[in-house]
Amino acid sequence: MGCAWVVGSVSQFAELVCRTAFSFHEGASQPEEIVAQAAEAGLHAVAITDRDGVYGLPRAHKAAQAHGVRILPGALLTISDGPGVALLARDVGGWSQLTRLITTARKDMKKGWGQIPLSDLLERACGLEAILLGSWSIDRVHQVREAFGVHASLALTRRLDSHDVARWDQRTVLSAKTQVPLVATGDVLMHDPSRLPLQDILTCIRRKCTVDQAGTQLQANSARTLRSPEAMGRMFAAAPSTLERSIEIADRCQFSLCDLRYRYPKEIVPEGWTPIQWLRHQTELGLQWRYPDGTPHAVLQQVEHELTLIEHLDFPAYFLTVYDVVRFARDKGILCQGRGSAANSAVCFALGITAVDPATSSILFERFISEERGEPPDIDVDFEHERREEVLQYVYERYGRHRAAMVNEVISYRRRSAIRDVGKVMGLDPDQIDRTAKGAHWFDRTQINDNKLREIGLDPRDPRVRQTIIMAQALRGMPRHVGVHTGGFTISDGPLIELCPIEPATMANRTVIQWDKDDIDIVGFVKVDLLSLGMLTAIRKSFELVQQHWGRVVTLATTPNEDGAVYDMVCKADTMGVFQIESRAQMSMLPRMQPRCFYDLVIQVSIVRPGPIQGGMVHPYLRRRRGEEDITYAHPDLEPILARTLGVPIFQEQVMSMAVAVGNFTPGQADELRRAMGAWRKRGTLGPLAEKLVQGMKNNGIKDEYAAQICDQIRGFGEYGFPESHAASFSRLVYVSAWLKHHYPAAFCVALLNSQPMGFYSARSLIDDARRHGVKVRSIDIQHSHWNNTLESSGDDEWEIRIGLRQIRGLAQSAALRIEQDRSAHGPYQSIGSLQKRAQLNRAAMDTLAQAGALRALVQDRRQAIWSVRGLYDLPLFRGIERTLDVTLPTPTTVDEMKSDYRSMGLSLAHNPLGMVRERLNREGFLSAAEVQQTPGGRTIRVAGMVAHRQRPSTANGIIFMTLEDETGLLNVVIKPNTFEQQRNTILQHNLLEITATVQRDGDSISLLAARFEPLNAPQPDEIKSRDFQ
Amino acid sequence: MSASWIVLSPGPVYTEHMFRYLVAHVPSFRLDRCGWSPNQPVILVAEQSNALRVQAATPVALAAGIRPGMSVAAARALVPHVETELLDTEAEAEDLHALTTQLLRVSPSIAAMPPDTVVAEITRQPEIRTGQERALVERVRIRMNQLGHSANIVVADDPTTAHHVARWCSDNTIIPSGQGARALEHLPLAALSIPPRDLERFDNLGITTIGRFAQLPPAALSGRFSPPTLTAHALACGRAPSPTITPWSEEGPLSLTQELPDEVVELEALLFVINALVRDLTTRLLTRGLATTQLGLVFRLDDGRQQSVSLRLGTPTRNHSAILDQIRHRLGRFTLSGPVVALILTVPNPTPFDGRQIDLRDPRRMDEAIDAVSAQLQDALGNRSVLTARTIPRHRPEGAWRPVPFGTTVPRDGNASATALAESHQTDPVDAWMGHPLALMPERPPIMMSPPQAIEVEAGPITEGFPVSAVHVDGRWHAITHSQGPEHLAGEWWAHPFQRTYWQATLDDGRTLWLYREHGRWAVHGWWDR
Repeated sequence: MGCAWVVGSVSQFAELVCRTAFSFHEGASQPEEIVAQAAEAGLHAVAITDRDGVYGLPRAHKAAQAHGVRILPGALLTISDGPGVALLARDVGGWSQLTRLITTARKDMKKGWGQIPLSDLLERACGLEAILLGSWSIDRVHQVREAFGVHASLALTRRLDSHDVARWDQRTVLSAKTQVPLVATGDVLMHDPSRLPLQDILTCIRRKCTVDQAGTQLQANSARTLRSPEAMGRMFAAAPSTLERSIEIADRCQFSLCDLRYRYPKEIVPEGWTPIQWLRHQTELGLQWRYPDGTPHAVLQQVEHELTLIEHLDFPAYFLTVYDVVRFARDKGILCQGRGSAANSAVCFALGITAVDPATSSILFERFISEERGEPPDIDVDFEHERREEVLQYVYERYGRHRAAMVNEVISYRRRSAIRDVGKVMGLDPDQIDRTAKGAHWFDRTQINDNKLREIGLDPRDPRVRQTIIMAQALRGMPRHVGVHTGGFTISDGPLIELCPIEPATMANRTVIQWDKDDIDIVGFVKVDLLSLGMLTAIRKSFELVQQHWGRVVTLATTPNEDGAVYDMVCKADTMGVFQIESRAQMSMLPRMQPRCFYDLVIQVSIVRPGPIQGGMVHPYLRRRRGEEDITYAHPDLEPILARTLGVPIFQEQVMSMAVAVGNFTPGQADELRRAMGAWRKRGTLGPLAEKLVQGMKNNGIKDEYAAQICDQIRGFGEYGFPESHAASFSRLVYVSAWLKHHYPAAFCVALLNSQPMGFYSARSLIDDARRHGVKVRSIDIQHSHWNNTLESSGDDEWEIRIGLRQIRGLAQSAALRIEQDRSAHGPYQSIGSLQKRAQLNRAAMDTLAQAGALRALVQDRRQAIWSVRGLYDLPLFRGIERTLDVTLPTPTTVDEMKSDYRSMGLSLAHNPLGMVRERLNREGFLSAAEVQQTPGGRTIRVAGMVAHRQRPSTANGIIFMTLEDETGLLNVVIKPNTFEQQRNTILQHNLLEITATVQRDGDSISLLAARFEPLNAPQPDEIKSRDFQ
Repeated sequence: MSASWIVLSPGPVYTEHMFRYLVAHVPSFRLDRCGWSPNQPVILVAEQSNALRVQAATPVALAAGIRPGMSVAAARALVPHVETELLDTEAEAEDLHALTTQLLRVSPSIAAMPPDTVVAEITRQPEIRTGQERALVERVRIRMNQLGHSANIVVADDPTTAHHVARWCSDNTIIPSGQGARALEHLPLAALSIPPRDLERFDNLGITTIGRFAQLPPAALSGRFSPPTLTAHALACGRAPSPTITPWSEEGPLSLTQELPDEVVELEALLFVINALVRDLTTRLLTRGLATTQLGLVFRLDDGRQQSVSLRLGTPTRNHSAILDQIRHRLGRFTLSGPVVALILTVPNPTPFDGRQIDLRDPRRMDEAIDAVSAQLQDALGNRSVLTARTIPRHRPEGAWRPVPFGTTVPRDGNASATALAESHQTDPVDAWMGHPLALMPERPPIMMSPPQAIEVEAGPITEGFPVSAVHVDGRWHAITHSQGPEHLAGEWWAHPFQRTYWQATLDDGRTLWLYREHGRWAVHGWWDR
């Protein structure tokens, strides 16, 4: 160029190269920010061209609709043998080419990377505009020109650095030689110059260096900002044609995400039927199955209403798709159940997708599907966790990998991850970062609190610390990486690759589309959530055991309803192992809540949640339930909404309905509020919706305090809150698991043990609980034990648990199965040599068995067994041959035996550490857990036990809850912050404790308010560990 | 500090074929060396398996339940205000190395046993022959105390036995010859270096002490347990092989000290001593295949003060005459400020010797003379007076270079992170794009002002985008005839933020200035000499 810049004027400009935060750690602005800025700057159009991906396009698309800006869908592609190229789709065909190119670029590359050879690009030029960035050779530009023709352009950028002149000259010459026109672009990385620091941070995170080390890897200035046509006119005054070219290209690109046409799979409907006819038919069959004595009139009406709406909104194929998957699971004996808002649908119940009977519960179908929203419904189905993979592979097989893929989940920066990454970049030492991240919960506020900084040992005067916090706040909410959604699947009629790029997931046999689970409905895709649930596995195994040993066939649907004895057990908080209500907090609530019917369980599982707790709804509900408080409503319009929960809002749907009734929200806005609740953790804000709700309530004469409570509750729902329908689905599993525990405790315990890991409790706790319920347990034995825990007959119609080999730490399942098969084929083992030889076990496996005491049938003394096993030869050829040099080993004490049991299995049937010292404890006046149940409130007592859990919920103001266990039961111990601070070491260091405490009673709910802790002088197993939660 | 003693009953009489080792284990060395007192709750931490974990702790922290291997979060749960010290492996090794050299007072054969133990082979020390081992141990103990460390010192026939005893007993112990097994028998089995899996097996077998372990017949262990366990068993039975400790080989700085029998005030007399020191030094360099480019000469004066002279030698050398000439040349301009009682000659950074020697009289090597000349210049003017510029990849122009002594050969950034960064350039996908500007050096004037100087300007009609028509330079106004720019530079917001717009402006007398505007003020940052 060789000239200076002259002021010019251009009234129009389209930015054609723009990276958002979804070019991970490159762009420093969210798609919504780019679009909003484009609208404000008056751009003709703005392209969203993230690197090797289209992750952020749905969000940009939505924002563009709101701002009335035209966005041009595209992407920047990394070329393996050349510089980069920005591609923009002119039409649907072009979009399809682009998605195929990105899919190719991502294939066989490590996560986050993509590249294609130039030749691949040239083959798929149709329907695309190509803008060449960087230093291209003349030959390659000619190749691109041949493939793209008039749709190829050379990017002309101004970075306002010392290379501008050379860059301009080089591009101009290249353009003249190749006849490929120049187009002006800002090659944008940020929507506003103020994002430069964040841009620097992202660069450093990407390059794994500190800001001090980064040097010229950082941008020299904020030139790569989205600029107005006027600003671009001034910068490109010497080449106004390049600006005009941007308009030409933008006008040629008429593709919009609205043009994508998602279609449901067709093969789910037999020939000769329409989807709605087939759905109606299947629903009718389902109703006959559900109600063999005749479908209640109300249900028929409900079904008819739903089918009409489903047909109207064109969703029949969606229901049939989910039905198809559920039917496959049922055919294979895989237990499944719909959760979430699908439980609001009578059609789903009829199809067997959900288990909540519409005849016995109040359901809100509009929460599931609403004409006003017009969005596809969201059906989430839980499958047994051990068998979900079979279901996923069925979907891939049935529809093909080109039509079925999992959906992405964009992981965004949250407080701690932001502080950790920014801290590293700012060069803080790891300990400082750790402290800052741990103290991150108070960084939401705009003011940095110097005292808080000092409390965690940081110097508030240190500018690095302050900058770290400021930049971490700026980073929060920015996308960090993408992962695969737990179970979200999208299935289409045609190849998905024509709609969205597909990439391989890290896990083998998984493919995933580039769009986030929350964004796909923006582009009209439908998702089915195929989730996994451990309790379904345990319930299925329980049903099998009950049928096998008691001859009784029970299913989710046929489990006898409303069994009073089951509710009696639940009211006593005897619920270890029961789904959802086994936690300390739930157990403590049960005696106060006294659930006596299914709907009580629905409330029970929903009320011990951050939503109602943060909103202060728990105590008012309990008081009203007990008749200690009048049932009143803050506004007459709230009565129909809140009547079923005694005037206290507990469910998400109630908050939404309240927003409409007294917050002046439209139903659409209420739904937006629901989404904001879900995204609260991710994005960190409820936005103006909360303010609008409070204001609306005030305008309706509702007190400020009540309105503030509702807002707190909404935030709580963002943490974890249940919609009523979801709670209803889960409550069915609560009831069934409680029923199994009450009527078949041995089978239930075995099923839980065989479904581990799941739930709150260790195998030790579950077995001890079963024994307290009269179940006899037999020790592990190589002549009898299977891999799984099993039931063995005691000869008088009683079944006892035989501990399975799976309880032995470090024993491979394959080894256990060989033992099981060989024993079943050839009878009991005669010696350790025969065991090793017949079951083809290596010495390590034999060693593990010996240490667990599983070889007692062959060598009575465990130590001698271990010694003998060590003498076995390990080479396969010599298996079964033993070195015979014997030694005399010390005789084990009971403490040694107990320690060995705990070390190898984490439990001991013969020796309970508390039982071993119970006599002394009795002498010294300690009460057992069982005795505490009979102790009146207010008394100071001493107890001793093993720590099963420690928990410090964020909602409990620093109070720690501890579950203490002895040979007679569990105790809930409450530790106030002061007590904890004074005795922190003892409380945290020891897992066998003596506690002096005051008994607290609230009805039948008992807890101990701890005053003093001492380490318990008792034999201490090496491997006793508590499960600690936050 | 008084020491407690254990002296086991005498064993077999010392023979020529036996070895004796002294081991000093300093339990709190790792935190002592960082300046922490045992009474402070402090943990030494390092990143391990993606978590920050405790490596060592002070006695107070250990008493509170903190254990090595624990995560820092867990440690902090026990002691919320525990101080943390980040492990610096290199510095720790250096300090242990320094501590090890203290044993040179008792033996030339010494070694470090990381992370906190030192060992000396003392077989040939006179104290051994005269039965004065206790005096030797006492000497070491006192020396350790003087250095601020409390050590458990053990003498035994082999260093492994001595090390185990020193780690597990808090007393100074002399294990008589042949009594190693007896000294170990009461220690827990964990004191031996047995693989954790085997240790767990022995625990399951009820064998928990070394004495009980030693009773097992060796034949019964063979095939049942791993080779390290068999080695440990031999040790427990008193059959430890005695490793030979290689005589101390110094690396890093080399230092020779000569105490003078009388005070000396004449430089000429000192040169006599220096000559001997240099000869000794060059011999040592020769035996190690090393040379030097730098020398330090310290005169310790009678009043405790020191005078130092630092010399640069151009190319690496170990030529006695060349070095002595250089020293003599320097001392010609040197004045002693008091009587000298000792001389110390040091080589701070010995370098490998490549076999070449500069000879300024050889015309074929004239092109190499710059090293020698620069060395002479540095020597005459001082190390910091002959400089060259090293570029630094930084946007702030005045920070984009820094003066370094001429001939400095350290890496550009002087640390490993530069290498890591360079490697990351090869793998960063963004660099695959469009040629990262990193590779291109920005155009800068050859004459830079440090610091930039404020300049008066006359705002004028914007010509070629430049808003200035004249500048006041050298006491008069010059019209701008041509300009180029702007170049925007901004950044370093985390420390010293800047935001400038630079221009190249050609004056009416032909000179081109590089000037910038920041916060409305103008400054000239450099010029081109064309």
